[in-house]
Order: sequence, then structure tokens, then C-alpha cells
Amino acid sequence: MSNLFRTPSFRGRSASILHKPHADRDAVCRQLDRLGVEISTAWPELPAEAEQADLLIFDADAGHDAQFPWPVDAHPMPMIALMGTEAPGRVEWAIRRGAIAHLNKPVTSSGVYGALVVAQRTFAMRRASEERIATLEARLACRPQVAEAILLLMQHQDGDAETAYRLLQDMAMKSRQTIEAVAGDLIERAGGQNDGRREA
Amino acid sequence: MGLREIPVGVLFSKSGSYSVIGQEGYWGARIAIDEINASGLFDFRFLRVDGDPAGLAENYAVEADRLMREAGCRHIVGTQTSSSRKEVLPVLERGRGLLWYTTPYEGFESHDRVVYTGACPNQGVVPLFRHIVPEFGRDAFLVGSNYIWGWETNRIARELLAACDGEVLGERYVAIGDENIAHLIAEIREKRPSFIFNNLIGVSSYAFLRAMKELAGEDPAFASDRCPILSCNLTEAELPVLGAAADGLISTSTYFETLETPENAALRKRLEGMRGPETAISSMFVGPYEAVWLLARAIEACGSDHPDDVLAELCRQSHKTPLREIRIDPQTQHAHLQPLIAVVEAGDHSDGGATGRSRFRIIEKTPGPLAPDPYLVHYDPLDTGTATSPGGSARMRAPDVGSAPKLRLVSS
Repeated sequence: MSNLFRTPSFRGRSASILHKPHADRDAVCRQLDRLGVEISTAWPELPAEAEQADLLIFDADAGHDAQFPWPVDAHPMPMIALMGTEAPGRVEWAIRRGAIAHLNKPVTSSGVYGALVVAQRTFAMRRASEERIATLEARLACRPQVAEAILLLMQHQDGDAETAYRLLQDMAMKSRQTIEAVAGDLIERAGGQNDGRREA
Repeated sequence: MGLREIPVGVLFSKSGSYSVIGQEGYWGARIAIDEINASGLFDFRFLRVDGDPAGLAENYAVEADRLMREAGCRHIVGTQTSSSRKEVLPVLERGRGLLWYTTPYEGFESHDRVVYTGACPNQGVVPLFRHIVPEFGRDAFLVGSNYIWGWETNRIARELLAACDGEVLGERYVAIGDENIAHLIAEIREKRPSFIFNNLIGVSSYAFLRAMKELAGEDPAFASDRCPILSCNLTEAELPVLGAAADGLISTSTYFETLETPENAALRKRLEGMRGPETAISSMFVGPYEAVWLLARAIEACGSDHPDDVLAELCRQSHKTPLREIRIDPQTQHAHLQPLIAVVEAGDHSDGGATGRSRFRIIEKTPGPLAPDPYLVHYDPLDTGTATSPGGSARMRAPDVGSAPKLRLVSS
């Protein structure tokens, strides 16, 4: 059942809209309201609490960095750009600011739901990838400790590297920890002769 | 008489591959216009302007543009397939007209220039499954024609079945117009589902239903009272084409000819006088018929035929058609509708008269009209754990009267 595609629902989600009062903003609000989304609008600046919103829809035509209360490389939520001009500089800015979907102006009755689904799904996939990369990087950073733990076990058991690695794996499985965590523990218990780190 | 004339576009494919339902829609609108003009109730009359796109999606925008620009129509009743409706939307936006769309469809649209009076999924497939699954079982075989109606309706079915731990034993599509369905029958025979959900259209559907009837003759496990075939869009209009192959089919609609109300009895009588006793009334007729009446009542109430005024009036209060009161939800511009479930029963052919026709016997009515939920915002099919808590998210959007039915298909 976990791989079942579920009808995306936005009921009860909050959205901030950064756009001047305009028919396009009204059209977006009308569609969001139909989807059960709670809306707050802002112009010319986003208030600090906008960071808590589940979604951000912003004007890519008149928008600029100073309107955002977070740094340009922080992308705290799925963002959708409202685009009138397709001048490449504007498109580039919207992407840099975090847009992962867009709506063309003039905004009509169609497009909002699709943009929301694309933005939400892309954001979730990006988040998952980032978390996975962070986990892998952390484990990669522990490679010296794992090597050291294997050496320790080889000395202690008077055995070969393969046996030592399997033992480390068993210990990890039994204690429900990662190999890296078990390696760290081993080194610490062994007295941290090398202070847990090897000099290159 | 100096009555002001209001041109109304009637846009149905009276010819082409789905002319059976196109004709029904056309006559529904036409008879309503004639009734309104003859009624003496209004200080205006409707001028009917016809357009026949002949079942070709690309003709719809051309015809709609002609109706609006050349004939001055600001209201258009018609389009039946989703692809034809989508074609017309830009024309409506440009001319700020209003489309009256009366066919059941797959939802996920809420356009400012459209009034939707056909059922969306929470008023069709959801109540249908809620009725069928507890009685026949959770393992379904899904078939459909290869386009958006079949894909989306089956997708929702899949989600509903998953929510009650049911299984989809197969999901197969065939091209529109394809009558080669022997492989489907073989697979269904092997898989032995609890029921079959049929979203095939036109000749593919007819071929499939005839073949299934044959299968039921060979293997009693596929008799309609053991393994029923369900549909969300089978109407009276198609029963004569199907003949005995339709017996036992279960369909959902917001109108059946056999609906027992004084208003419907009166409508049956009026139409019998006009069209003869052999011509059935279907939702494909009633949808446009009621839409035109709704338009007349709204113009009468607000004193203007400007689409924006009419829309505001429709959203302000319910209006009476010759069949029932209809309320339009201001947020989505879709109608509140009462889903009905019915089974096809063979007529008594002995006297050769009107009773010889097959007809739908209504087996379930929801307690009252259900609010529309075109984006399925108000339920979460998989959130079954909270189904019993008041206001829980698994509930359907509450109907207007009576208690809110749960989305859960199988109570435990």
C-alpha cells in the first residue's frame, strides 16, 4: 500500500503569496481557497512568520532578494513563481530563489492545482535526496574510524581484516547501530590512543 | 410580443462517434428552451443557436467562438467529454461567457467560466463503491477506454480499494472504438474478481458487455448477482443498443428515469407525449434540460443575463427546475447532487409496449444532496483510523441532510 499513489490534498496547508494586490493574485487565491488552503498575502515584504508556511507563491516579475526574510540559498518550503516576463534573468532569479514550479500570468482557472502537486512532489524528492546525501557524507567522513576499528579488532583477535570487518558488522546489527557508530565506540573504549583520528 | 431575446448556445455532437448521447443532450436543451418560451413565466425568451462539432474535439473551440462572437451567445449549454470542455475554456475566458457543463466527469477542475451540474467523483464512484464492496467483496477488475475518464476514474477506484485492503486483480485499457476484447474476457475469467468496474465507452463497452454476458452463460460465477459489472456513466440512452447484454448492470447517476417523484412522473408524461413511449429519458437529457431551466430562473431572479450576474445569483440561493431544487456551491461552482445507484432490469416484452423496455431499478439513494468536492479535498481514503471520530478527516464532506457517511467501504 505504501507505493500507492494517493490523491494529493492540500486541505489545511498554509500558503503565503508574495505579490501586489492584482487580478492575478485574486485568481491564485480563488483556486487555493477551492483546494482548502489557508492563504496569507504579503507585499512588498514577506514577514518573518512566512517561513512557517507550507508553500510560497511569489512574483517573479517584480520580486527581489530583499523581500525575503531568509537567505537566498535557503529553500524552506516548496515555491511556485508567478511569471509574466520570461526574460532569462528573471527566470534564473526565480529558480535561484527556490521556485520548483511556475504559473504563467495572466493566471486563469487552471494550472494552480497542477503546479502545487509538482512543487510539493519535487520538494519532497529533493528533501529526501538531501537527507540521503547528508547521511552518506557523514558515514563517508567516518571511514578512518572504521579502518582503525578493524585494525584494533585484528590486533585483539589476531585475525585477518575480513573477519574483523564481519565482526564489526555483527556488532552493529546486534546493537542496531551503524558500523560507523560501533567503530567510534570501539576506539573510545580502546582508550582513544589516537584520539579517534588518524593523522594523515 | 416585445419580449427581449436572449441567445443561448446549444453545443452538442449530434453526429459523430458519440452522437447517441449528443442527441440526448441536444434534445434536453431544446425542449427546455421551448418549454420556457411557451410558459409565459418570463419577460424574455431564449433564442436557440445550435452548434454541432460532430464529435471532433478540435471543432468545439471553433463552434463555441462562432456562437459567442457571431450569434452573441454569452451562455453555452453543452460539451460532454472532458477533452471537448477543455477546448472551449479559452474561448469562454476571452469572451467572458459561461459554459453549462452537465455531464458526470472525473473532477479536478473548477473553472470560473463554467457551471458544473454533472456529478464529480465524490458524487459518483465513491458512493457506488461504498454500496458494492460490502456486498460483493473487495477484489476488483478495472477496465477502461484509453483516455482521461477511464484513467482517472480507475485511479480513484484503486485508491478506494486500497483503503479497505481490497485488491485490484487487473487493470486493462483498450483504444476508443476498439471492439477486440477477447483477451480481457480471458483474463477476467482467470482472475475471478468480486466485481468488474467498467469505464469503457461506446462500441468497446458494448462489445465487452455482450462478451461478459456470454461468459456468464458459460460460467455461473460471472452471473450479475455474483460478479456484477459497475459503471459510472451508463444511462438509459444506451440500453436499447445493449438489449439483453445490459441486464444486471449496476450504474450510478444523479438521475434515473425511474426516480419516483411527482415532478419526475410529470416530466415522463410530458415527454412521452412529445417523444413517444419508446424513448427513454436519461441523465444526458435531464442535465441540459435542467441547466437551461436553471439559467432562466437565475435570469428571472437577478434581472440580468450577464454571465457574472447569473453566476452570482446561482451562488446566492438554490433555484427550482421542473424536477428539483438545485443549489450551486459558490466555492467550486459545482452542483449539490443526490447520488443514486440502480440496476438494469429487463422489461416485460409480452405486450410489446413501453413496459418492454429495460429500465433501471433504483437500489440506493443517499439521504440527501451531497456537496460537490471536485478536488477530493474533504476526504482521505487511507485515513481509515479516524473514520469514527466526529469531524475525522476520513469523512466525506457532509451531505446537506442526515448524518455524514464515512468513506470507509467496509465497516469493521
